[in-house]
Order: sequence, then structure tokens, then C-alpha cells
Amino acid sequence: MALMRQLDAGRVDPAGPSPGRGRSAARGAAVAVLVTGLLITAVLAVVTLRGHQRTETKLLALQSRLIADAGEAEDQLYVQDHLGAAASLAAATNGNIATFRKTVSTSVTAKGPFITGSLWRLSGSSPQLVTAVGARPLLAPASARAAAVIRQAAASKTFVVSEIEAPHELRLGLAAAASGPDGTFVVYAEQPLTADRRISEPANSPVALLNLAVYLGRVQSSAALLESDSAAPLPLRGTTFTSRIRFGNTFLTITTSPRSSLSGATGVVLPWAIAIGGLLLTLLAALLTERLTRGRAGAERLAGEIRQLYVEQRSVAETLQGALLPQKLPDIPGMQIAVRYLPGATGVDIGGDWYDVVPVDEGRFVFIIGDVSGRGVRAAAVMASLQFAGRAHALDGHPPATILDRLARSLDLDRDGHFATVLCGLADVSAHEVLLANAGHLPPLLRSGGEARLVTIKSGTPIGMRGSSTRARAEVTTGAGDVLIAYTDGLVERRGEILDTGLERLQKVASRDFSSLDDMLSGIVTELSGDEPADDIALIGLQWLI
Amino acid sequence: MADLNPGKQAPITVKTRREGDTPVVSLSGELDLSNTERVRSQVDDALAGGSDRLVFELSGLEFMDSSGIALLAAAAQRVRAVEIRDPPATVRRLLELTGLTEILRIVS
Repeated sequence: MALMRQLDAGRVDPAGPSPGRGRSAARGAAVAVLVTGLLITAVLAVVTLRGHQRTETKLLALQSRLIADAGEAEDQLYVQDHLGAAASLAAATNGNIATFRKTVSTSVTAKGPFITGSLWRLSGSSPQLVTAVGARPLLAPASARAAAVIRQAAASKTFVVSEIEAPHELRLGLAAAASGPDGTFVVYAEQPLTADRRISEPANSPVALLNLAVYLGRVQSSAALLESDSAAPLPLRGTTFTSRIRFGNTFLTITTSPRSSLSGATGVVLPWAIAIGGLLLTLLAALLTERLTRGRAGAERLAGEIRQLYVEQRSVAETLQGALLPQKLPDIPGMQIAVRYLPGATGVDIGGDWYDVVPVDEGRFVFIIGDVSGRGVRAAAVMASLQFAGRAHALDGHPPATILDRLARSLDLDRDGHFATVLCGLADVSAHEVLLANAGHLPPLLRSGGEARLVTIKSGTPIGMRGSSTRARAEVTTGAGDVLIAYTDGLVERRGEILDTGLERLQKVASRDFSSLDDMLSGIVTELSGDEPADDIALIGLQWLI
Repeated sequence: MADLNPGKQAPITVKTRREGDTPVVSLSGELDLSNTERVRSQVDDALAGGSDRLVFELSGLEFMDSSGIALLAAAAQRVRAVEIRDPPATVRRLLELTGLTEILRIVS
């Protein structure tokens, strides 16, 4: 009912949203979700990736520093321990050969760390070889370069380092000096490096996770490369960390890069997992959004269609009702006749109220007003059959009581599920007489000389019920200007109120002054029906003009 | 059925008991088009025992429309005697004005 009111007021678009609008709205929402989802996914993935990279860099730096620190300590000590100690002993023993040989016996061996060692005495500017142990040195003792290395070592506060290269062989030459009372002694040793400068670290080594390249000096050139465990091309690329440690008179440059993720597989997988997972979730969400939005649009469309159907059905029902009622009232000389019909506001079902006026002969006519119980198409069908039958019986010239008796034969409450209250009257215009018969209907109202009262008539048994065989009858005499009004219960019935109250209200309103019969019916309907009559209201007014 | 919402029924309470062989149907609340079908089926159940009398106890009935009249009248067609007990004034007047007093016995 609330919906009906809305529709009547034109506030609701009965067609609802159009299918096109629904589809584009669904697509728009889906695209919005898609874009938002992708943005969030991208940001999360990038943030995670950055975080991972930062962690990797930090771990690499940490590990590299540890390696460098360990290497620094180890290498320095090693060289100082062995070569420095041997030089100091030689200086103290004036280059005693036996002492020297004994000192270096553990460090100069075929297995290394040094494969050759020699003791030099520096008197004046030319170094003299005192003795040599182990393999033949790559640095020829008689060469000028050998003399230069020894002199350089003697002048240096720490050991000196040089790379000694020969075809297919590469050695690191190390020289440490010490001065004693008998002069300056220099111990020179060579440490072999692999020819391809590749080394392999054991799997449990702390550097096993890293690519490592060690250069002599400050420059990462292939010539300066001492050793590398990397299968990757050098110099190392990507995330690298470089540290320098002092090594004698020069430096070792250590460059590392991670072989795999230092922080574990999760760090590598996570950004991808986020990206792929986010992408899938976004697609799913977009799909769902599209479906839901389209579903909602569909539901709205359906609701719109239902509303439309409702309006149409209601309109069909009212059209049917209107078609069943007389389109035009007959012109009866000497009479003014007016009618009103108001469909009830409750839903789409049509009511069963009807009225009819049938001229019988010159100066006489029959009027019928009735109300079939219930609503709907079946009630309307019963009403139609009663109306047509009543009209036929009236035309046959039967008096009202007989018309009702005959109507009663055509309806059975048990069989048809409906009954009807009917009031029938035969009016003689010039005789000012009305014969009334009643079948359960409310009594008509007579306004005579400015005063309205209900006609006294028994109700009788409604049509469709087995009851008393005698019809309730009455006879009314009218004067010129008098008005007889018959009506259905919708006019006077109000929920929670005794019918007499409504009837009294009707008499009161009908007693007012009206300019015409039309004016009177309009006034009564307006006054009694309210804005929205729940039940149908039918009303017929007969006024004697003569 | 007359309402847009078919599930919305006027409130009514139906109680059935027996006085000897006679079923007594007590109705309280509102009896109209929206709920007569439900009440009718309970009246049918009450009459299933094969009694030729039926009593409607209507003291609690606040409203009744023509569908209610049809219900009472239809019951009156099926048994020999229907008694309407303690109808409120509104219902009693409606029964009088529609001629139901001729086929129903009203007892107050």
C-alpha cells in the first residue's frame, strides 16, 4: 500500500534502472577494485622487495667485514710470525744458516704455505743471498728485481708484497726484514697461487654463501686478482661489498657478492608471492564485484519490473471494474440519477461492488446495488454474473423481491465461495413510489425536505446463503426534490467502529444543504471515505425532479 | 490477498475446544480477508468429528469484515445450527445489518 502511494505520487521510477546502466556500473566498480587492488599489490611487493634487498645488503656487509677482519688478522700474523721471526733470528745470529733452516722448516714445505724461502744479507746497497731452501724461486736470485725487492723490504717497516709471474705459474713474493748488530737480514718467501687464480671454499666455510674476489692492491683489475671462488665473471656485479685490509706494504681488496639469498628463501619468494597472490586476489575481487554489482542491478531491475507489473495489474483491474459497471446511465424523464464508484486502496485485487439502473417501461425503472464478498477476479466474475442476471430479471418485469429470489438461485456460498448483499428497488417516477427488497444489504438513505434518514427495512438473507424464504421488503414514498441514496458498506464501515456510527455520520452529512445531486454525492464521498478508502465504495443517488 | 504483501495477515487467535459433542471455536483479534482461509481450515478441522452443531465464541473479536461473515455463514450452511456467542457490539450489528441473524443464533 505504501508502495502504491509512492507510485501514485510518481516518486518511484516504475521502470527501474536500465540494463545498460547496471552493466556499465558493474564494469566501473570492477575496474575500480582492479586498479586499487593492483596498486596495493604493487606497493606491497615493492616495499617487501626493498626490505629484502636492504636485509641482503646488511647481511653481506656484515659477513664481508667478518671475513676481512679475520683475513687481516690471519694474514698479518702469519707473515709476521714466520717471515718476521725468521728475519729477527737471522739478525740476532748474524745470518746463521742452520738456525734459519730450522726456523723455516715448518713454513717452507712442498705443501706450503711457502714453497721456497731464502735468507739475504744487506751490506751496503747490494743484497747477498745467504742461503735458500725449498723449490727454486720464480724470482731469480741474481736478478735486478730480486735485489730491488730485498732493498725495498730492508727499507720498509713492514713486509713487502709483490706478485711474481711466470708462464703457467703465479706466486706471491713476501719479504720481511730485521736489523741486528751485524747488519740487516731479509727473509724472502714465495707463496704459490693457483694459475687460474680460482680457489674453492669448503661448503661449511663462512664464505661458502658468497662470491669472493681478492685483489692485491687497491684496484679490482684482472691483473691484480689473487684469488676468487666465484664462477661468475669478474669483477663481481649486483649487490657487492668491498673492503680493504692492510697487507704488508700494500692492501688486499676483498669484494663479495651473495651467491644466493643470505636471509633465506623466504626473503626472495615473499615479494613474488605477494605480487602473484595480490594479483590473483585482485582479479577475484574484481570478478566478484562485477558479479555482485550486476546482480544488484538485476534485482533492482526486477523490482522495477514488478512495480511496473503491479501498476499495470492494478490498472487492468480498475479498467475491468469500470467496464463491468454501466458506462452510461439511462435517461429517465423526471429523474436525476448520479453514481460514484471508488476502488479500495488495498492492493491489486478488484472488489465486487456494483450498481445498475434498468428502465422497465414508461415511467418505471429498477435500480440495483450490490456487494460480492471477497475480492479478486473470482469475486468480480460473480459480480458480473449477478449484474447481468439482475438486469435480465428486471427487464422481464419482475418485482424486486422476485429479482432477488432469482439471483439467489445462481449463487451458492458453499459452491462459489462468495455471497452477495443486494438491494433492489423498483421506482415509479410519477407515482413517487419505490418498492424495495433487501438481501443483507445496508438500508438506503432518504433525504426528504432537508432531512436525511435511513429507510426502515429488514436486512434479509444475503444472496448465496440458505435462509428464510421470505424477502425483506419495504415501500417508500417520495416527494419532488427528494433523494434516495443506496450505497455499499465501504462508505460507512470503519475498522473498530460500530456500523451505526458510520450510518449516523452518513445521515448527518446527507442532511446538509447541497446545490445539486452531484454536489451531494461528492460531499458525502469526500466526508465519509477519507483520503484512502480501504474498501470499494459504490453509491447511487436518485432524485425526483417532479 | 488484498494487501501488497501476501504474507501479512491480520492478527487473530483461534482456539478450539469441545462442549460435549459440540465444537467451540474461539476467535480473538481481527477476522478479515487476509486470514479467513487460515481460520476456515481450523473450522473444517473442528467439524471433522461430524457434529451437527457449532459454536463461535466471539467475545475477543475486535473486527470482522464481509469475509468473516462469509466464514460464519458458510459454516451455517454445513451444520444444522450455528451459535454465535458473546459477539461485541460492532460484530453483532454487522451480523444484524447483513441479515445473518436469520441463519445464525446469537447468544449473549
